[in-house]
Formats: sequence, structure tokens, C-alpha cells
Amino acid sequence: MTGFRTVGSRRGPVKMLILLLLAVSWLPLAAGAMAGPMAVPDDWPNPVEVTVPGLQVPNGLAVNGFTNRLYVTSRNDNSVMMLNATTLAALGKTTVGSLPFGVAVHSGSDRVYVANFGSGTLSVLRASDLQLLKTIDLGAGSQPTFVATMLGSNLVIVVLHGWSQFVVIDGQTDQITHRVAPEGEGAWGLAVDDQYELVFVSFRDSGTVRAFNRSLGWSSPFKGTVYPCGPTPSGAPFGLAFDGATRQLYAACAHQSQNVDTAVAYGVSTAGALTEVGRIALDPGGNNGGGGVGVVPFTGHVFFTNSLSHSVSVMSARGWRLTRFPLGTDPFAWPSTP
Amino acid sequence: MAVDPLTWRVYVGDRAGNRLFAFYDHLLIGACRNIRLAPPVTSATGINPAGISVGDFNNDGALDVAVTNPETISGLPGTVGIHLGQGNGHLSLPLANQVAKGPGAVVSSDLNGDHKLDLVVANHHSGDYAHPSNVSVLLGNGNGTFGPVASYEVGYGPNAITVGDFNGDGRPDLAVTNSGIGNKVSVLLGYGGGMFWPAVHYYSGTQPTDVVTADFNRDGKLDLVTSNWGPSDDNGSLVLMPGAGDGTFPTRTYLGAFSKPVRLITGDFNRDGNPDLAVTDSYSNFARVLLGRGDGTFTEAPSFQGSPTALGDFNADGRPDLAGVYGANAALWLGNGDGTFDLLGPFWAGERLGALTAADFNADGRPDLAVINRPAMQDTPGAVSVLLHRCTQNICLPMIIR
Repeated sequence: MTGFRTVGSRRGPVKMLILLLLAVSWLPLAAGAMAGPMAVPDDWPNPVEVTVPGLQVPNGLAVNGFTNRLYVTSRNDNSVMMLNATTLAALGKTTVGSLPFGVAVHSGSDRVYVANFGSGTLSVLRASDLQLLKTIDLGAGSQPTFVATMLGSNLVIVVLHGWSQFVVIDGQTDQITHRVAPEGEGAWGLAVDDQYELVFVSFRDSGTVRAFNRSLGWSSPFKGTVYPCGPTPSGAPFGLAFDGATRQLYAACAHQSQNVDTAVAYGVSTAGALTEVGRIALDPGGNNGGGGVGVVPFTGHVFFTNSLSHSVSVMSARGWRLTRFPLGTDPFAWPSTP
Repeated sequence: MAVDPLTWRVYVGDRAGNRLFAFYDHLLIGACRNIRLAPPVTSATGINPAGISVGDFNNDGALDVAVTNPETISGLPGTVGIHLGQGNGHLSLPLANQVAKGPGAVVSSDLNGDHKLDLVVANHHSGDYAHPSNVSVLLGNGNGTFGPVASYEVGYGPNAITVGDFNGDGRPDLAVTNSGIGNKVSVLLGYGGGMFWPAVHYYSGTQPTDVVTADFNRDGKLDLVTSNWGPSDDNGSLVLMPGAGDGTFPTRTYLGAFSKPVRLITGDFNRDGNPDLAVTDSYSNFARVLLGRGDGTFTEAPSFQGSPTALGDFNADGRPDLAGVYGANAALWLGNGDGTFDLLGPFWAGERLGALTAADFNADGRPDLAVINRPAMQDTPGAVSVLLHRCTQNICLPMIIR
């Protein structure tokens, strides 16, 4: 993986990694095939809990399984940290912009991207040593929240909460190629479908989740807009996650309590049409906050962070059986205090 | 929150405590040290039950079962019956869908991308000397019912089906083995909407009995492996048909002699990233395990007695296990993660066991078994038994709040 360090050598390794990822993604397509996790050390506690010296309010996380590196934004000291993904030992730290929020890593190009909510910028860093390569100005007051990379097309997507839009950045040139400003207020959550080049954005204040199709010029396809959380202003979608194996999109919904209390799942067509396939209360008592969503493709397990109830909820994509377990005191993402 | 799809690790930041948490997804429900299968919950099914497939056909979150029922001597047509699951192992009476003669193997998959499961049924007796046999495709309505049956011609005597995207166009394709005249493997490429182009036929060996697909040579293209019963004076074989990536399988590689091989299973038994195979030699009733090298060749691991037909992680240790028939009972073979397996069981699963599969019928995160109980007399109803997983000793269950 050391060959990824120079920009000039990116294309070969990128192609190799794409092929490797595609090979991994083949397995669930084959009926009867079963992919498995990597070997688990016998002495590995579950979960691992580490208090990281120097980490001040971890907001965003991104992991590169190929290099076994975890990247975490440290909000209160305007930095991003790199850790060993197995041991969670800190390996490096770099100052970025103000109030770093979301972070993404492109596993093929040795790049890490950090969305700086306060300064309205995107920091581009070398993933191997966190050297700051470039700072992309997204606009004062644009308030970038989440960032994601599209492996195949080497695009970087950043949601701008302050401007209710998202931008598309060419990962090769670091140039903004598109600013997409659809109808919708309070853009917040972000997920991408790498295979069919779809971007999903939640609009908190207008209560919508929209799919955007690159082949349609980043416009929404027919049936590509939904109101997952009911009518506004009581219903507001926050975090999003997409599972390419099942082609399901998951959204965390807040209702009148303004705290996330519901998970909604949508089937996604290859064009980006959204069809609701189910919903479930994250906690019957409500008032649990949260909003972070993640999905493990091979198991179909969907995870929701509940910051106010200090827990993580687990949902089965198939069975909708919910499990919840305690984890920390403020597992992100409660969105009101970026 | 971040998820690593390679390791199944999930990372969460704790903002108040400046802590990080990392946990393995598949260990969340707790590795199980002491597995039992509950006594079978038996539901009546149709006449002469043959094949079984599991899926959520009515999209209610509870798994359902499809069972094929060949035609009777008295003239009742061949059907595929849908048993709706209740989420607790109990199944409804079947709702029959008429197909063609001799329905046997059945698979469920979303063939038209509408997020509703569809069915493909191999009609073993549907051909005659003038006409090849066919497979039936039933597109699901998402409520447990299916649309009109579409028939696609294959070879003579179709007996096994696998689904995969053989040409990389994002649409599911079919591969069907035919044990009758011609010994064909029929490949039907999907062209969207759950419809298929006419079959292209390949020869893999004499009397193919089963087919599985995976990327055995790790070239990014799905391949096929067939088990072949062989001529009467031979032992049979396994054959690899590497996929060219365009939906064709132009070459075949002989994987060795076997004693009338029947059921095939593929999975990564030793967790090296390469697909492996388990095949039952019907004459010896031993399962032989072939560990893939990732280049289309295999090394053989120790065999074991029994006939595995399903894959699952029954003890939630991240190592693939097998389930199947052992003598007159059901059994599990717990994987050690290196391609070897240890027998667990046998477990009583009712009389006259037929096809067996594994799935999580009660949504507790642990795979259960469903098995067909054939009738004692021809042309009489059979049964489907569900054996729920019972874990009596978890390793890390205390961290879960249910």
C-alpha cells in the first residue's frame, strides 16, 4: 500500500483496489455464496473501548480496511487523528479547519477528506501520513457536514448544510465540478451508491430525502424524493446509510420530540427511485437523540447511534428485530451542536 | 460512526467521553458455545414435496417457505406452494401456484429489481422426446402471491438452479443443470424485468446433478461448478466452468473423480478469501471439502460423514458452518475456520428427511433449519419442519439489551 503515496502513481493502485473491492462485492451476488469477516483475534474484546489522548469531541469517523487505518475528526481542537483500526492506538494528528465534522477516506487514492463546518472548507490530506495537501474553499457559511467518496469514479461529495446543497468534487483535480442546489432546506445526511453513481441527501428542515443520479446530470429521478418522517416541521430526517448488497437506504427520523426515534428503510432502484420497505421505532420511549447510521453489507445489520440514551440500536435489514446495547455517554450524531 | 465492510467492524465516537468504541458486528449477538436445535415445528405441505426455498415473499419481515410439489398419478398438476411464516417457526398452509411437470429445485431471488422476491422452478419432467424441459419463472407481487408463470426452455431434466450476474450487467442470470439427454448446463441471461434470453447450453459432464456459482479463480467474473453423476460405469466428477464475464462459459476444467456426487455448497470455509466447495458423494455418503486456492484449483481437506446442504454461522464465531442430513436426522457441522468441520448432532427433524435449508425464521440473529418431510406413501401430503436454533450458553450476550 505504500505505493499509493504519490499522486502520479494513483491510477494503477486505484484500479487494482477497485477490482479488489468489486471482487469482494461479487460474493453476495452469487446465490449460496457467503463472504466472511477477517479472522478475529481470540483475545479481542468486543467492543474495544479506548480513551484517546488528545481527542476532543470525536465527530466523524472513517475507516480504510485495506490499510487498517481509522480517521477521526476532533472537533474542539480543529484537527483530525489517524489511528490503528485494530488497536485504536493514535498514529498521528493534523490541524485542519474550524469545527471539523465529517471525514471520508478514498481507499484507492490515499486521500482523506475532512469537512470543516465552521470555516466552510474541505481539507484534503494524504491518508498515509495526514499531510495537508490542499484546502478547498466551499464558501463562508456553507457549513459542510458530511463528506463521502465514490470509489469507482473518484468523486468526492460534500453536503453544505448552510446552503442546502451538495457539491461534487473531482478527486483527481480537486476541482468542484457541480454544485447541486435542489429544492429542500437544511441539507444534512449523506450516503452514496458507488455502483450506480447515486447520491442520497437528507434535507432536515423540509423533511425530504432525495436521490440524485449522476447520469441524469445530478437531478432526482422519478420517485426519487420521499418524506420519510412525515410532514414538516415535525418530521425531520438526519443520518443516512446505503447498503449496496441489498440496495436499501436507511434514514434516521426525528419527529415532534426533535429527537431521532424512528428508522426507515427504502429500496433503491438502479435509477434512484425510492420505495419504502419498512420502518421501526428505534426506542418506544422516544427522546433518544442520535442520528448516526451505519450498515454492514454482508450481515445487513444497521446501526443507529442514540446519543441521549447512550446506546447503539441494531436493526436487522430482513427481520426488523431491534437490539440495543449501551455504548458511551454521547455516541454521535446529535446534530444540533456540530 | 464508521463501518469497515472488510472486517465487519463498526466504530463509534463518544463525544462526551472523548472515547472510541470498535466492535465486530458478527460477534454482537454472541458466539454460542452450546447449540441445540429445538424439536421440529411441523406444518403440513402439499403432495410429494421435493424442493424448498426460503424468502420473505410477503415482505412482512418474517421468512416464508416455497415448496415444490410434483404432479400426481391421479392428475393433480405440479405446483410450488407458498407457506407464509409467522415469525416463530410456524408456517401457514401452502398457497399453490401451478407450474409444469415435475417441479423440483426452486430458488428465490429478486429477478426484476422491484424488491419483491421471485421464484425459479426447475420442472424436471416437463420435456418429452420432442420438446426440451423448462423452468418456470414466477414474479412476486410482494404479498405472497405471484404473477403469471413464464416458461423458459432449458435442457432435458432440469434438476438444479443457481442465480448470479454472469455478464456483469446488474441483472440476475440463471444457470440450470439438466440430467437428461444432452447433459446440458443451460445459461439464461437476464434482459431486465425478470425476463430472460433463450438458453445457451454447455456441456459439463455426464448427468449433472447440481450447480453453484462463485468467483473461484478470482478474476472478477462468476464461474460455475457442477457435480456430475457420471455414466453407469464411472464415478462421476466435479467440473469448473470459468466465466468469461460476458455470460459465456467457454472452457471446462475437470476437478477430479467423485463417487456419484450430488449436492454442492460453496462458501469461504477457511476464511482465506477464496471460495471453497463441499460436495456429497452419494455412494459413500461422505462430504468432501475442496479448499479453493483462488486460481480455480483446489486442495482437499478432511472429509466427513453426512450430506450437508446448507451454509450458516450457527455458533456465531465468524466461521462458516454447514447443516444437512446425517443418517435419518439433521445435523450441524461446525467449522473450525480452517476447512475442517466437527459434527454437532444428530437432531431429530421428523420422518423421511428431504431437502434441507437454513435461515433465520424467528429473527433472533441465529440461523434455524427447515427441512422437508416426505410422505410415507406416494401422492400423499408431506410436511415442512422448522427447527429453531437454541443457544444455551452465549459468550458475550450480557452486553445486549433486548
